[in-house]
Amino acid sequence: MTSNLTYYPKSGRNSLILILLGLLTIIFFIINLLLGSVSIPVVHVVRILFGMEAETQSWQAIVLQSRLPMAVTALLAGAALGISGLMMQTLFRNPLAGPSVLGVSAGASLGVAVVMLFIAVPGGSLVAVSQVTGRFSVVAAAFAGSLLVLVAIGFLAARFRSNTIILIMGIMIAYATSSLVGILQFYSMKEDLQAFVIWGLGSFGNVPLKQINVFALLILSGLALSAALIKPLNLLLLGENYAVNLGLNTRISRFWIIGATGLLTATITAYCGPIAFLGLAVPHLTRNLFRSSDHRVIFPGTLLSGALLALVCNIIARLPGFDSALPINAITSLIGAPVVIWLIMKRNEFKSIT
Amino acid sequence: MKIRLLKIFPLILSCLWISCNQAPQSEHTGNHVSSMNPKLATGFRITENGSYRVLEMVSGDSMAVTERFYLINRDINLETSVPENGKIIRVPIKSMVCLSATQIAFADALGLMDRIVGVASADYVVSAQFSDLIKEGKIREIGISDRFKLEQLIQLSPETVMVTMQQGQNYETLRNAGLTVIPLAEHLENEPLGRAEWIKCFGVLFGKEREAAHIFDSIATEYNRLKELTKDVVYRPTVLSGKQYGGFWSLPGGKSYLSKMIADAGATYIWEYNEESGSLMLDFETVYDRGIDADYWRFLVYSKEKFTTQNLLDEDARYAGLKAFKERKMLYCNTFSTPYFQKSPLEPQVLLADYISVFHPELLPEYHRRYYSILE
Repeated sequence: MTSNLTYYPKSGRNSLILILLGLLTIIFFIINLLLGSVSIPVVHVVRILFGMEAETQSWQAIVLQSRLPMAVTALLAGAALGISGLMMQTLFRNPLAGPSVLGVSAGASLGVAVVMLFIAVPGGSLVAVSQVTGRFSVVAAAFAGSLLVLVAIGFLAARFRSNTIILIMGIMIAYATSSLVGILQFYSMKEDLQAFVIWGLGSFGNVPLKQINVFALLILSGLALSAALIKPLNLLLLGENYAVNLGLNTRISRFWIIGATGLLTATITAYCGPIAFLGLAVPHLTRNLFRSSDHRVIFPGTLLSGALLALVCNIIARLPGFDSALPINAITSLIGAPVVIWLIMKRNEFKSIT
Repeated sequence: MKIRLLKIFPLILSCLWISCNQAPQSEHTGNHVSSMNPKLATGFRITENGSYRVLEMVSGDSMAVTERFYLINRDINLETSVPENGKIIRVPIKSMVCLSATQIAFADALGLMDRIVGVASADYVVSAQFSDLIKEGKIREIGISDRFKLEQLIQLSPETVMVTMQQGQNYETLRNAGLTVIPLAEHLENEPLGRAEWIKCFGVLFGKEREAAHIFDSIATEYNRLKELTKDVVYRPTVLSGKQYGGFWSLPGGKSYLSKMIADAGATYIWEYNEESGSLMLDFETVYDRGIDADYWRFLVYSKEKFTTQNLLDEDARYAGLKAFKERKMLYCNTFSTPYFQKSPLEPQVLLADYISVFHPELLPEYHRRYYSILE
């Protein structure tokens, strides 16, 4: 396994794949702007993007205020989910780890459930709830919830040496918060529940244009922090004891890895809801694609394939040409699960994760 | 293959035979349609048999009977032979528990407040009398949203429990506890007057037939009078409904209660052509594209303070692009300060008048809206 860490035998191939992924990401980003349930001719989309007067006002609003922020959100969230999953899988040396193992997204769900289900009053309806809670308080509640869990995990991480213990604690915290959400759901009105269910199904369309810079800033700083952790992540691949012998302060690096993942997951869950599966699947896809687990290669790889996959899922979920749309989580899991199964069957082994 | 099909064929035939035979059985008992049978509501039927009434709850396009009650007067002894395919209710009912606020509004209209022993929530805003009865402890709170406190409910021993008909909800726990459950489906009526007509169902259950018929007739007369006003309007403004949430825009279908009422108010709901009677979940883009030029925009809010355009923009800044927003032609109903969910099913004529006064103010000068307000 360590052979993968010795210097790039296939660096030419890997750079080619990276370039290809980058191009595909750009192409699908553009497709996200071109396609939607309302068909707008390509020429007009381009005109609108270059700031020219649009044929109708609705087209201008749809492209600039709906499709553009949605595509940017999908791009950033996809990349960030992939990276979070990658860091968790490496830290816990567990192929099933993902951004949700820390319980951060469960914490966010709890925060949102409290706002939507507990504060909302009998006699409300879906429309009423969406307005009583408002976008901002949902985001704030999700952040508060995930921060709470993150602090708890951070405390545990400082106390316990073993990563396994932290993994188990994270999963236990997730279970406990989920059960609180369950109780809240049990005692809430049908209509409030629908709003919560819709939130839980995830959406890249929730970040308004005005807040996209805040979202981008949070995600990009999380990603920058993660990029600085490539070296400790590679050392952790060797096993904790080796890493210590090689001079790595595992506690400090663990703290930063958890912090970066927490920031990314909390931001994504707050703005997009709990997006399923991408965080788990993307690192596997990337490792298979590059046939490597060297983070210097798969970090940029995961970044790009996460963004790409999220953009692809977003197009499929919006069912171009139809009046309706599907929730993003339905697509990420429906598309993602068979892909991972197929890859595993093809490789016949879960390669180079642990 | 052939042989197998031959074997199955008689079976299919006999199934068809049975189902053909079964369908008319309910009407085969020599009952005749009651004068209380609804004209517009489709969720219940009332037939009579001299000594008793039959109340049937029906649902779906097939009008399948989901529940059958034999209403026998308290004074007549039980010997009256009724078929066994339904439950016996002694009328007039003396005590009931209401699990929805609309039911309390119906009871209130018929002067039946003293027969309510329990309600789902004490927070419902219905009438001063209701609040007093709650305070005096004559009406108990049972708990909202199907999570009722079962033991307290049983202890109240109501003769019937009025529940809201819901798909997949059978209220099995209540039935198992020996309570008589009456599922009401006024919210599923798509005719604007259909919901109000459910008062007749309350009428036969509580011995208030004449009052119920009278109330409904006056509602219908007023509704039709208002509807007549808009018959010849030349300008029919277009109307958008609902708001977006999570990228989806939830709005009523073209054959819904709201769509029909907007048409009666001399306007055009922009999804009028749609064939659904339930609600639609459409992509934001679709609705925005079609709704951007709508003349009016109608939606519900829930706000303890006065709702402002700023509140709307906080929810989604894209609303600012809608024509109805720019021209301030937005009508909203604050479900916190109005009894929209509780009382509006029984007041379609008020809702209609509210709409007409917005779409065609010249037809109802001096009118003060009761449910809707214009967002300034």
